[in-house]
Amino acid sequence: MGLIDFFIVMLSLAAIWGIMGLAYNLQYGFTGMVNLGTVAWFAIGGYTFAILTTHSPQLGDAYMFGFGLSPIIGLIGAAIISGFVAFLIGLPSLKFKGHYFAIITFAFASILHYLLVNERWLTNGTIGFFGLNSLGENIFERNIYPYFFCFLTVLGLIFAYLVIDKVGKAPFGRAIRGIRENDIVALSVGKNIFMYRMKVFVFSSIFIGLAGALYSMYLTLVTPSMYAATLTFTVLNAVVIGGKANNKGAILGIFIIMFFAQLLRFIEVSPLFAVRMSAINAMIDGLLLVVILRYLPDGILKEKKVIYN
Amino acid sequence: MNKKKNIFKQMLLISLCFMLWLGVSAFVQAQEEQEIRFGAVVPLTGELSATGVDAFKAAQLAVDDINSVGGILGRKLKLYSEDSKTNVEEGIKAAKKLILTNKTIAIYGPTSDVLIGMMDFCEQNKVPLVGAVSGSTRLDNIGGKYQYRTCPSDSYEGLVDAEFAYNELGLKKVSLITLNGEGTLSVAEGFRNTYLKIGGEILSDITVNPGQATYMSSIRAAFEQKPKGVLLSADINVTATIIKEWRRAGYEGIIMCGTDVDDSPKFVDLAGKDNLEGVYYTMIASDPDQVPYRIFEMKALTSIGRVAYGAPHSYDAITILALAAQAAGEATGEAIAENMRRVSNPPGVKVSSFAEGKSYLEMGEEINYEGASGACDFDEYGNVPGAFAKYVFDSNAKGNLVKFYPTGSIIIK
Amino acid sequence: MINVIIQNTLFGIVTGSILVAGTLGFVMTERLDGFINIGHGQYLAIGAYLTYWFYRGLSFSFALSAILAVLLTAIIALCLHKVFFKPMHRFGVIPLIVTSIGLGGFLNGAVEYFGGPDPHSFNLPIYKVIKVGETSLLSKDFFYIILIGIVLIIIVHLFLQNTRIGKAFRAVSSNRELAIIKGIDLDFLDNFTWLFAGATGAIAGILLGVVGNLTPDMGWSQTMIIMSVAVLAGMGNIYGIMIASFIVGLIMDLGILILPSGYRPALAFAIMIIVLLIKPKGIFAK
Repeated sequence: MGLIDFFIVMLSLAAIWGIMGLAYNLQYGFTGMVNLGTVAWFAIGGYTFAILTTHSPQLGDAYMFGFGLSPIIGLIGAAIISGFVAFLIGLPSLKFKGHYFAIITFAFASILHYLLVNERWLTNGTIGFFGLNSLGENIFERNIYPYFFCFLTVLGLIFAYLVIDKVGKAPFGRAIRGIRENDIVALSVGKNIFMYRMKVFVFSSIFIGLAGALYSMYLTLVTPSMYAATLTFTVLNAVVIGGKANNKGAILGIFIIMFFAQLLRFIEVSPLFAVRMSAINAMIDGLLLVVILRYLPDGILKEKKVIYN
Repeated sequence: MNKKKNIFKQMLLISLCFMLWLGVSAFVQAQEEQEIRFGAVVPLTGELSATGVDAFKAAQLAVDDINSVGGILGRKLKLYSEDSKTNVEEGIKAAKKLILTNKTIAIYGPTSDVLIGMMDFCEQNKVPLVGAVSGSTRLDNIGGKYQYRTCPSDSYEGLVDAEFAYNELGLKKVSLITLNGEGTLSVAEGFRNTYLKIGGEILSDITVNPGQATYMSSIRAAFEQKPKGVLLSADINVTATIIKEWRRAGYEGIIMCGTDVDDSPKFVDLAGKDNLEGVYYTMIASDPDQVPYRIFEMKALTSIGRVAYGAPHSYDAITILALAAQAAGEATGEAIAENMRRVSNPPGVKVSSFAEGKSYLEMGEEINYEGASGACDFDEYGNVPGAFAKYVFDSNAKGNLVKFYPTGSIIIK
Repeated sequence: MINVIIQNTLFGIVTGSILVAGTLGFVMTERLDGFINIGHGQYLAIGAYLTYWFYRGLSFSFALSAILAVLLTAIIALCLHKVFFKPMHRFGVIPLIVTSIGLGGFLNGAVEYFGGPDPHSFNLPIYKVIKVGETSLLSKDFFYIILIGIVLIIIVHLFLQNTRIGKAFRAVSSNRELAIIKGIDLDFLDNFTWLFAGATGAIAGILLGVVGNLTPDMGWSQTMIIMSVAVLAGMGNIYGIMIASFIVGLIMDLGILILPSGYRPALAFAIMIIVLLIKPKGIFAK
């Protein structure tokens, strides 16, 4: 059944992006941190997974490290390394807000991209790693595997949602929202802004890394070209459109973005015109963001007012 | 407040229904028609698009030829195409769409890197894959039942380039500038192996990355030791930039390109018509004297305007897939895969078109397809040996044939 | 060896000239409107592509094409400001930044839509490098770029010092409230600044097209480097920008003598990060 297969594949992708959206929303929506380098952690997750699970280098391979471990270790490793890098980057940069944090994160993502392309001993350069193993591939039949994978990603999404939602509703969530609104007041009440931001940053980066690993399983490869800066903007778009600081909103935003992307794919045009479709997609995404931000500055789904007893 | 929320909820619901409707109608449409579907994952944009588009048109020519004699097993052939954007990630997405949504039973056309990326997925879904411009040496020993290519491996190209540089042009000392990419690295490797074997000396061996604003340092490094020639194995963007900067810097020496550039308008425009005189390049070639090629050439010149790199190979890829289905008597990927060698390798009556092949098959004869690109006899890994030709740009940036190397004219020692 | 250093130094100055054109507008709009326009880089792409269209498509002379493109881009920048940015001011800085991101993405898509995803080239004649003895310097057209950079600097300097608008700009730049009290027409200044941002951005883009190719992403790739220059100078000081542009240009083109050339843009980012960590206000902070 072609339709079901396609739907399963789309749902898997949406779930992966949804995890990223939720995580990003925690940084941007709840804590007010404008991270323009999200794609870097996505890439770190993907590449860590690849390096941990791919076979050791053979004759003719430019890379030096391939550990051939199981995909589960790959997933865990991706999450850990991603969080760790967030910690390293966060140390010097989280004291900045607004403009400067945005610029630093953007710069970091750009530098990472150059590392991915140039440091062939680690990343195998522009060729990247392919033929990656997915979790559970050996257990399931070739035809059934996509269903399992979809199940896996949706499970991941539900897990991420539950965890992040809980965080948002907890006192911790209140604190970070306080910091977002007025950090001077928050300071005066004794909150250690830096520590809160760091916790959010590391915590959400773990999920972004996880999403990155899942994405590399989905595509069965990693190459530098998969991680362009525009990916960050897509996630930002989704979160802004769907609803700042609203978890359901983040997921909604992702679905809307993906909807438009797929809609364009279905419009049957001559293959040579289809080339322009991705440009049209980019224009729609950008315009959508601008328009929604103008008329619904908090996104489609408003932030939930949490009632404290 | 609530009213706005409701309106949006309604809009959301409507859009979801719309999307569902689109999907269902696409699916229903698929079930209705009796057509046979092949897929094309081709570089319509991106680094290899200069030739990708015209080679794809050649594939469409093949589809037209097939349908003009009633199609495969009496059913029309439809070619669904997706742009690989010369990018592995896009290529895989394209393959997924073609196989899962469009239900294509065979796929042709990806470039080396994309082909390697898609191989496993296609095999899992029992969809044979035929490359027409995928020369990477990495594919030399991993093909089999589901992966083929009608174009020869870059390891053969390396032989040709090395022999040409050393013997024809008399260049005993060269430098290499190679783009860090699957296909280009493999061409350089092929060259390096042979060139050193036959006594040449490599002065500098430089690797460059795509997307840089300037390649001056690399050019300088390559020309530092004053080689008589430089092998430049890179895509059209990087090659164009390097050639322009090389001219500007005024270095002496001969530049030899691999198979990634040709005299397509896109490349000539990018590099500058006036900058290309005396630059050499390689093409996977067909023997210009063979009849199947002549016929194809005529058709291509009339309908497309030129014979692009990979065009005859694309034409043959589609035709062979179609013949395999015809011979199998059923239109499934597995059946095609099982009959690929049956229709294109000896023994059998030599045929050079779908029409011919179909009539012989219907009479119960075995056939051996010899196409526009060459004999198309697949070995156990799905490879074919091939012919190459070296061209040089003249002052009008048109490529002139310098030397043709028939299949097997250079042996790998 | 010395020859190589000399040549790369000259390249660095060329890069610096282009960066001056690209960064001035970015900083000026930030000074005046209080947010960083992340989409500023797109003016470069628009300027370059418009020039391509006029020059290669409509066969105007290169000079005419460039002038038209600069004017058009300036107008486009102004219109975008009025339609998209102005209404967003009441929402604060972050929505403005996010709007600029969305707008940048939209413009990038538009450039790719009209220009196609493949690279283009102006295909100007290639001039050989001018040699002094054994040393290669630059080719004629590259020297012109340096000239344009210098001319631009002189114009901006004269403008800031000697014209009413320029003085008004300096006033607003250093103390906005006081300037308003003194009766400076903010609206007019605003419009002018955006025109200027579009124009200089277009110039930078055209120069980029002269030294390299036109790609739809050329705007985004320059945005980072522009931000580096701005951060290095300390977001406000116009003269600081001029100097910082050349510093960044030189570091990029001399740095690749030591590091692999693939890292050339990364050097700019590294500068930025280092500056932010050590002296976040920039080296020319007031």
